[in-house]
Amino acid sequence: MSKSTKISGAVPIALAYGLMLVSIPIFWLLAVKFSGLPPVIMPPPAQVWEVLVTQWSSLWYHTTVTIGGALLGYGVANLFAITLAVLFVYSPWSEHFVTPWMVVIRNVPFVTVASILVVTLGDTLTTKVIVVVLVSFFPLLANLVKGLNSAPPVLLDRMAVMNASRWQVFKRVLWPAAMPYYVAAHEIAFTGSIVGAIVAEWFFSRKGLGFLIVQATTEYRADRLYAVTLIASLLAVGAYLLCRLWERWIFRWKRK
Amino acid sequence: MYVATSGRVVSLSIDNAKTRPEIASVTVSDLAKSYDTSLILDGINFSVAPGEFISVIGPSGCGKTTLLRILAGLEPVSSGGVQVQGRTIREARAEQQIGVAFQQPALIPSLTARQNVQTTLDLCSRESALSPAEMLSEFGLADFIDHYPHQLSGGMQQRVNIAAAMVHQPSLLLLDEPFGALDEMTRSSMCAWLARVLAESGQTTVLVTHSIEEAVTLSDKIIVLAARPGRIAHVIEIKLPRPRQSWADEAFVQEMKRVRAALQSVGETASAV
Repeated sequence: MSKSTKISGAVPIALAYGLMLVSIPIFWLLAVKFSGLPPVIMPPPAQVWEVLVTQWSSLWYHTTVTIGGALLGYGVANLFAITLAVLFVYSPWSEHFVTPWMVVIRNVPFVTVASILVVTLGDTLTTKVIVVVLVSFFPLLANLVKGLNSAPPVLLDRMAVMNASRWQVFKRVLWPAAMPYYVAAHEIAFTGSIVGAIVAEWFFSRKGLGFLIVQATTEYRADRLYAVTLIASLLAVGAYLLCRLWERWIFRWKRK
Repeated sequence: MYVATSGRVVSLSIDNAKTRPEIASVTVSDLAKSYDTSLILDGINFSVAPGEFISVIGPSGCGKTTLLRILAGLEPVSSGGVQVQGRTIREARAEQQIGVAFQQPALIPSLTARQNVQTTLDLCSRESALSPAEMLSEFGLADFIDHYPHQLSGGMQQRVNIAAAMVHQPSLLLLDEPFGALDEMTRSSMCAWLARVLAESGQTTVLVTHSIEEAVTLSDKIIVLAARPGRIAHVIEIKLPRPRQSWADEAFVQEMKRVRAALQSVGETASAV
């Protein structure tokens, strides 16, 4: 593939995100102008910007709390997902025993699980981490199992003829085969972990972006609410773009 | 082409093949294979002398690939046995004495041609005197060593595949329709290329193929299998001098006719190429 083709692939993406960033304040201003809603309900961009500047230290602190919870929960979710996926692949019978638990945990209404966690563990990091794990774990596990099982039989045969060890087969064939699925799962689950952390904070915490949402709503501070929404959106988009960059790096050989 | 293995210097040229202790003989005795109640292979007996090239040909579903998978240790036998240089398949596999190339190249897509060949050596406790790059150059891929599989044509991919199957100098090379997915022209040139490579290496080889031309070009002996259950119907020795010419040579055409007649007698309808 020529260099110009590679660049032309990245240009439309950058252009699309640039256009979105420019469009948001324009649509926002138009909405403020034509909706006739008062600033206390729909504040203009300038007012929100002022909140962002003047209250930055507080907003930054709560943002780091959210990021910390999301990252920790996401790390734990990945650890669990990788462990279980490997277990399922190497001992397929274990999947039969674990799946009923997965089905129950996955389908119990989220709010009841969160409530039980708050009652049991209180407003702690553990509670938040569990909520994030519940949100992001399942797409990771499902994609990893599918990916590990997608290894080409012909490569597995080649490894078997070479008397390769389980670890060698995993490292050289199974894991590379799972990568496209794992990367795709991150695009959903990594952004999901941030949403999960915010929802957990919204539900029970005294700190984090979710808490700020509750506070701003009860105090009728629409400007703070909008500021938090902007930060949360940037976090989610940032997480998504990080995943895409990682994907480009992992699959850089495909562009050769 | 000279190769040092574990400190020894061993010639890969066919004249010196006898001095190469690793070249295997294969003995298949009373082999039977069944899945559930259906018998796939029955009463298979044959032997392959060191450095000999055997082709297995037969109608679809006659168990050719199953036989090759058994020789590779990928399928257990139901009864009978296979010995490679006096060892069981399990032992030969544990010593990494077998190399296999399938119809679909077994290449890791995220690795270059060189890295794919290197993978075989990484899995092996043996050393090879020929580096993957040298091996690929020998195989006519000097300019494509650092290319990824998706950057290579089907024929090139299959050369890398065969290089990866041979780089660790296995005693026994197994080829399962390696050119089956290629177009006719590429297939023909690949066949001539493989004949040259194997003439140099003196490698004991078993090839499963649908192509009479391929079998006659490459083989010392052709085993014709009959179907349901798979059993040996004919063993045809090909005594043409090497390198063998194809359609232009009357003797070659006669041998092809002989194999075709044998195949027709067991109900094969395959083409001559």
